[in-house]
Formats: sequence, structure tokens, C-alpha cells
Amino acid sequence: MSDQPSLIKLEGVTKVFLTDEVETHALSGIHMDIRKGEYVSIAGPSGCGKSTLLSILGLLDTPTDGTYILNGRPVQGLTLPERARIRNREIGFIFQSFNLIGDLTVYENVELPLTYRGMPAAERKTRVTEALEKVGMGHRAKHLPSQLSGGQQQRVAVARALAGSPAVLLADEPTGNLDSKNGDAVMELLHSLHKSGSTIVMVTHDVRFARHAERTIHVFDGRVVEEQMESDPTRA
Amino acid sequence: MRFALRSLLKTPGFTVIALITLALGIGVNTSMYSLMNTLLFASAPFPHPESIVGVNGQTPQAEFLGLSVTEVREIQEHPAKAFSILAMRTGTLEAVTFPGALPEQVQGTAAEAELFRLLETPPLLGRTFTAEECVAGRDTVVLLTERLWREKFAARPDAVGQTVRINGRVFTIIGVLPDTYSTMFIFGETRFFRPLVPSEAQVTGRDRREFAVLGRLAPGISIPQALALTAPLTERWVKDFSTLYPAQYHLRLQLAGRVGGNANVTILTLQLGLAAAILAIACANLANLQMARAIARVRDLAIRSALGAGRWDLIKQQLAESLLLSAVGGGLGLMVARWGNDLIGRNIRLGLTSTLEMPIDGPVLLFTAVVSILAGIGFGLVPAILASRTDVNETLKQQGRGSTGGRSQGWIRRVLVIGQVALSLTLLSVAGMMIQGLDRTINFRPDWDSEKILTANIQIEEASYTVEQRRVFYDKILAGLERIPGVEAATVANRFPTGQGGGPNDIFAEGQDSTAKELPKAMNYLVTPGFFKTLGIRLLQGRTFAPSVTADSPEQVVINQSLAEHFWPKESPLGKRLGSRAGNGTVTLREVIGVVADADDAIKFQEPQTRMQYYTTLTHQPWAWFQVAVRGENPAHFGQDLRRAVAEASPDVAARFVWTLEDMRDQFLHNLIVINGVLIAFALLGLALAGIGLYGIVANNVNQRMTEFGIRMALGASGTDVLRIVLRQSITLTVIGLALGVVGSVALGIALRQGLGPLIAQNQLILAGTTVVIFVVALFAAWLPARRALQADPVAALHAE
Repeated sequence: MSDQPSLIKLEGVTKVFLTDEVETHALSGIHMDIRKGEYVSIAGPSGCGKSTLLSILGLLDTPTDGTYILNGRPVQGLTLPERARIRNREIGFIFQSFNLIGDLTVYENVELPLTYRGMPAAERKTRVTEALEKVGMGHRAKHLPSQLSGGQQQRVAVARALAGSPAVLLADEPTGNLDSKNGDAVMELLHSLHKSGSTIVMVTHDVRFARHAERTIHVFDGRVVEEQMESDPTRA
Repeated sequence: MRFALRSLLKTPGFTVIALITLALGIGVNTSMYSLMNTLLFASAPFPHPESIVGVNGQTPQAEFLGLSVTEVREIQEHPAKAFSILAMRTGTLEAVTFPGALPEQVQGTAAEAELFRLLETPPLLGRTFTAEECVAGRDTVVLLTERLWREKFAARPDAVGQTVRINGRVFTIIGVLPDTYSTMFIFGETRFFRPLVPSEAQVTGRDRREFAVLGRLAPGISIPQALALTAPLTERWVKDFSTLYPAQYHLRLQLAGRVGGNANVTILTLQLGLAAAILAIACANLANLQMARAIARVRDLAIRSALGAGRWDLIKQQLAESLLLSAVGGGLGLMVARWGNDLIGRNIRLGLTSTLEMPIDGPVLLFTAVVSILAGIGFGLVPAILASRTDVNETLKQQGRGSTGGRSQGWIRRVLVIGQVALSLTLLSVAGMMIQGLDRTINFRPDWDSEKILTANIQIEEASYTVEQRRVFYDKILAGLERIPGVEAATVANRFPTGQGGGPNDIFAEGQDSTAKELPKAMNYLVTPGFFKTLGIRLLQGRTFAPSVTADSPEQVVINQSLAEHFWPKESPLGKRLGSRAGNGTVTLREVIGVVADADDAIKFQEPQTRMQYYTTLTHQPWAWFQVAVRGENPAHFGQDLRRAVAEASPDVAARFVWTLEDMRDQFLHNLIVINGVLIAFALLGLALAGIGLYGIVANNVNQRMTEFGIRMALGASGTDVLRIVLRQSITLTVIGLALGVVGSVALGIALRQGLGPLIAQNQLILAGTTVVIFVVALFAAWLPARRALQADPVAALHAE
């Protein structure tokens, strides 16, 4: 992967929360470089700052200090509409709690980010169908999320993240709300996506799942304390 | 839009409440706009209506003055050509005898031949009359309107050429006019047109402003331009005839077919304003509900935002729902409006028999569409904007426990409730003020014996009766009236103090300068000797007119107490001489022979221009247009006998408007009572909506704070303590709203009194009463959901924490 260009580059990123004049340093001087096609996990105990880090990577939050370059472009000072646009085109989210919209069908959930892109209906249909087929949920397109199991909902969430062909998939504890069988299935799905060329950044506190990635970045107290290359991610 | 529809279908309770609220809010606005559209924005149903205007004189005191023949001729001859055609006309109610039928009273119009050229609308049959036929002796031709033609001649073409008797003269039917010539707000309930032949006195008397005038503006001339062009002429009138024209006299032009008058415009604007207030209250309610929904959906919005939805995307989604609701609500509102229009139209009276048609036409539909869109934006935009401000990261982290712009929503929702309460108080108090004003007007009883008389109007043709013939005619009628069994007294007069208008005259005491530009004004009543007995007006000093008074007797005058106190405050006015100045500047001095009590108008729409009154004898100024009155128990029973007495005096003259005071009140106040009913309905609707709004906000507040209340109870708070917390906020908001509403009500009351006079009562008790009513309703609306706070479970609350 070292020959691939850098997709995500953080330099000296800090995040400080101010609550009632008390400063909480969630992240302190994070340096990170993730290349295209990499599968990286961010691991660490609860409260270590890994979710904050993922939020910054996903442009849901802004760093207090430091530089964030995404796909060759500094993004820390962008306006809200620009950030929304980049989220829509460059980033695919997979949340722990799936975050599907209950009022929309499976198809419509997957279609949603594409509608914000102003994509023509015919192209949207092709992409949604492909994404659902890829995660094995094509037959459930007309169902509502409430009619699916947790594992199926997470597959739909993955399809939604994939449909827009983002530069990177950000997965926040994607197995956190699943039983081990469904959790394993989702990890298999991410692995196969990685094999087909997707860049994946996954936050997890579970070392077992972290080992699915090629590289694991350990975060503790808002700092990167260790980086570890996995020799054979499929054998985790 | 698809998602919006699905979302609304998923919450049928909210959707139904929202649609009902919108349908009522938009419906009453549409209905009120229909009324306004029908009355104020109507066009004359003739070609090029934009250039057809009603031409009146206007003074600072009197809104509408007719024009005299002299004035019309001078406008026509003025070098600045504001009008291409001017046509005089006057309404008449005449005894018409159709072939093979008995005489009956039919409303007609005497008009100049130019009218038909002006209106550019040919007759259905036959021809219109010519200028040569508007001359005495050649004027016995008549045009029927289509309706009369159908009624009396079954639409037979051979009606043309037949004859009818009008006021005893034989007229030949020369044509049939389309029913557009019966347009209510131009021609009243006119059923026929005959040539106008002004009398000699009307032709020469500049102050004989007895004609309604229609004008066709000259090509390319607008109303403001026409007013500017005629201004030099009216300024010259004011300068050359200062006793006839007040300083600010000018022409008044209004597009024909519309209702004018400040009071009408004020009432209609008030109604539309109150309807708008109801819609505002409805929108405030819906905005509150939408904000509550936005809280429930904040997580969905955060997810959409995370997936790349921009703020506008989120606003659009929320607005789509509001606009969909308002569009459907607008459609239902049209149904409400149609029902309301039918109800109002059926109950409003125009003229004596006509009702009002309030169609839902293009302009009304456009109005409804615009109001619906504005309502949708009005109640949807703020919640949408607030929802779009969702902190995505925070909301997603909270796993569903997020809230949408909590602090902003809090104060906005509080402001909405304050506004609702303030508007409700304003609505209710204005309705209350009008109810009391109307009640006072309806139940006002003057100091004279108004409940024992029956009156009627009589008009004889000025040209057909010499002055002496008129005196004989009065005597005949009086004799006939006095013979009616049960009649205690009868009189003939030019007017009675019943509130039917008429302008005052300039007066002065002998010795004062009679040429002064401004002289005191007093109402002049031309009466027969039995006037005071018939009306029960008390004599205070001296005597009234002797029964033996004739045209050869010296002119004398009876004055009222106010006039006596004005000119002779510390001495007896008896034997003094009161001067009056006629419109043409002629001065007459009369000896004061008696003082009577003030006779207030029995029906007062506005404060009288003057309280001073003086009575002179009809025999010295025998008018062709006069009224008769008889006095007795159960006056309504004299109706037939009165008609018969008039018919016996002349078979071609008929009594019209044979009314008791009760009939007059019904006739004159009926529409105001209907309008007031509408106002009361508006006020109650506004109050109900405000109550629902307060209920909603308190219920939502309680739901959000159940955990807090549980903790408070776990820490020892009693149910009363919790209830007090909930109610305190509601009471605070209500009190602030009421304070603002009091200010608004007082201000609106003062403004309305300018236009509506005594029809609006300014009474602190009404304001205090409505304030208490709204406070109680608000307290009740808050107490109902507040009770739920008592069900807070301390154990569950602690577990949740």
C-alpha cells in the first residue's frame, strides 16, 4: 500500500471541549496518514477519543487545531455546505446503531445520499440496486428497516455507504449492536469490500475485530500510542 | 413530497388537527376576502370597466355628495377633459301599472340618454332613449330590465311598444335592457329606466346636489389624473361660492360597481384583519406542533446531514410537509369558505330584498393559493430552520436523546404562545366592543316616543305638482291618516329624527354676521303642526305651531334646547329671531315661538354632526319628497290603512318603506348584526385555537420534563410543587400575552372608533371581562396537561438517569 497516494493525512490535530470553563482534551496532537485502499482500524478503550477522531475524519466535527488533508485538499476550514458536499461525495458512514431512517424503505435509505447529490433517477436506481446486491439485500429493497434484523440493517447501512462510491468508508463500531454471528458477517463484508479496493477506517474497542484491518492505530487519552501492522488480517 | 406525504400519513392525529386548523384559518380568510372582493374590488359588468367611475363631491364631513345639474355641466364644459362622457341619474321608486294589473311599487332609474353611450351595452330588444326624449313632454318612454320583462311579459318580444302607467302617466316601452343594468352597487334594485328630466329648480340650483353621476374617463386618463384635472374647477367653486362648498371640497371618483364609504371599508378591513389574526393563531399552533415533531425527528435529520444533506435540503424536506399540509388545508379551506359565503350571503341584505352573492372566482382562488403558501411557509419555516441547525455529531452521539436547537425553540415557542394569547384577547375584546356598540345602538331609545309611531316615505313628481298642489296633497294625506281608527296623531315632515341622514344648515342669531364663512350648523325639520304631538317631543317653553298656520302666515321657528343654550344661554329665546342661510346664500329670519327637548336620532350609526335642531313649517317650503308618521298603540297595525290613505290622496302615489322604528332598526342594523355574528365566531375560534396552542406547549413541556419531575419527587417535592412549576410558566406567558393584548385592544378600539363611531363601544369592563375569560381558558388549557406531571415516577426517573 505504501505506493498508494495519501488519502487522509492528519498533522497535529487536537480537539478541546470547553464545558463550564473546564477544558477537556479529547485529542492531542494526532498525526495520521491513511493511503488509498488501506483498511485501518482505530482501537482503544472507551473515552480515549477514537469516536471524536472518527467524527473529525468524517467532517462531522472540526479540530481545534492542526491540519486535516482529505484526498489532497485541506478541509479543516471549510464552510458547512462544503463539508456537507464532501461528506456526500467522499465519505461513506457505517454507524454502530445503523442509523437507517425508519420512515424510508431499504431502497430509499440507500438512495438518500444520491438524491442529495442531484443524481438522475435512472443512475440512482442502477447504483442502489448494485449496492444492495453487493451486500446481499437486493431482495429486501421494499422493506422498512423495522422489518429487518440487526445484521440486515447493518448490511443496508453498508450498502448506503457504498452506493455513492465514496473515497473512504468510516465505520464506527459497526458490530457494536450485533451478535457475534452477525458481527462476523459484517466484518466479512467489510473485508470483501476492502479486497475490491475500498479504503476503510474502522473504530472499534474490540481487539478481535481490529485485527481484521491491515493496520491498527491504538489511541489512548487522545494520543496515538501505537501503530500495528496485521500480518494476516483474515486470520484474526 | 412523497416523503412528506408518507410522514403525514404516519401521524394521522397531527395531520387531521393540522388540516382542520388550516381549513378553518384559510377558510375564514377566503370567505372574508370573497366579501371584500365582492364589495370593494368588483368591476362594473360593462365594457372597459376600468374607466367607468362614480363621480361624487366630497367634503371633510360628508363622504358622498351627489352633484347638481350646474356642477355636472361645468365639469363637462371644463377645458381639461377628464371625462369623455358624464351621465346623471337618480333612483326612483314609483307606482307602476302594467297592462291588466294593479299598481305596484317598482324601483327604477331616471337617467340621461348619455348613460347608454357611456356603458357601451346595447339593449336586448328595441332601442334606448335619446337626448331629445329627456325633455318634459317627450319623456314618456321606458326601458325595462330583462328581469322585469321576464316577470311581467314572460319575455315576449311584443312587450316593446306596449304601455305602462308610471305615477299616473302613460309610458311606452321602447326596449329591454340586459340585467347588467340592475347591478346592485351601481343601480340598486332598478327594474326600469326612464328619461331624466330635471325640474327648473334642479337645473338652476347649484346646491341641488340630487344626482348620482357616472363618468367614463377620457382615454388615457387615470383616476388620480382626472382628480388633478378637475381640481382647479372645484377650487374655483370653493372660492366663488364659499357658502356652498367647504374649504376642502373636491370630487371623489370611485370605480363603478364597488362599495365605498369609510365605515364599509373599515368594517371589511377589520373583518379581514381579524380573519388574518385567526390564521396567525392557527399558524402559531402548527408551528408549535411542527417544532415538537422536529424534536422527535432530530435523529433522522442528523443522519441525513451526515449523509451529505445540506441545510437547504433539510429545510426543503420540512417545508415540503408544511406546504403539502397548507395546500390540502387550502383546498378544504375553499370548502369552508364556500359554506361561509353561502351563510353570510344568505343573511346579508342588499336593498330591500336582494342577498349577496359571493362567488369563489379567480381572484379569490388566487388569494387562497397565496394565503395557503404563506401559511405553509409561516408555520413551517421556523421549525424547519431550527431543525436544520441540528448538531449532527452531538445528536448521533446521544443515540436518540438529542434535541433540536433546544434553547432557540424554547423561546420561539414561548413567543408564539404569547402572541396567540395577545391576538385572542384583541379579537375577543374587539368583538365585545362591537357587540356592546351594536347592542347600545339597537336598544337606544331617544327622549321622544319613538316606539309608538309608524312612518312612510312618499315622493311626488316635482314637475307634476305645483307648490300649492303639494300643500293640498299634504292636507289630504293628513286628513286620511287622522281618520285611521286608533291613530292618536299624524304628521307630515321632510324628515324624522330616525337617523336617516340629511345635512345640517348654517344658522345664526339675529344681529350676528350672516355672511361669515363658518356658521354654526343645525338640522332643519320642515313639519306640520302635529309633528311634536305625533313624535312625543316635549315642549319646554312657549308653544309649537298653530294648526291654523298657512303659507301666508309669518314664518316662525321652534328650536331645541341645545340650540337655545347655544345662542341664548342665559335668557329666554322666545321672541328672538333665528336666521338660516340656504345653500344659495339666501338668508331667512324667523321668530322663535317655542323650545322643545332635544330629539336624538333613534338609530345612530355615527355621532351627529350637530345636536342643534330647528323646526320650521312645511307649508312654507313644500318639498316633493317627504315622510308621514302616525302615532298610536301597536303602530305596525296601521300599515294597510296608511297605504290606503296615501292611495286615496292620489292613485299614482304610493307609500314606501312603511316601517315602525323596530322595522328600521332591523333594516338598517341587520347586516351589522350578521357581521357581528361573524366577529363573535372569529373571536371564539381564535380563543379555542389559542387554548389548544397553550395546551400543546404545556403538554409537550411536561413530556420532556417527566424525568426531571420524577427526580424532584424523589427528592421530596409534592405533587402541588410539581404542578406549580408547570403552571408558573403558563401563567407567566399568559400574563405577558394578556398585557400585550390589552395594549393592542385599546389601540385598535381607538382606531376603529374613528371609522365606526358609536358602533364600537370602548368599555374598560369589556376589556377586563375578556381578559379574565382568556386567563381562565389559558389556565384550564395549561392545567389539563399539567396534571400529567403528577404521574411522574421517581423510580423510573432515577433508573433512566
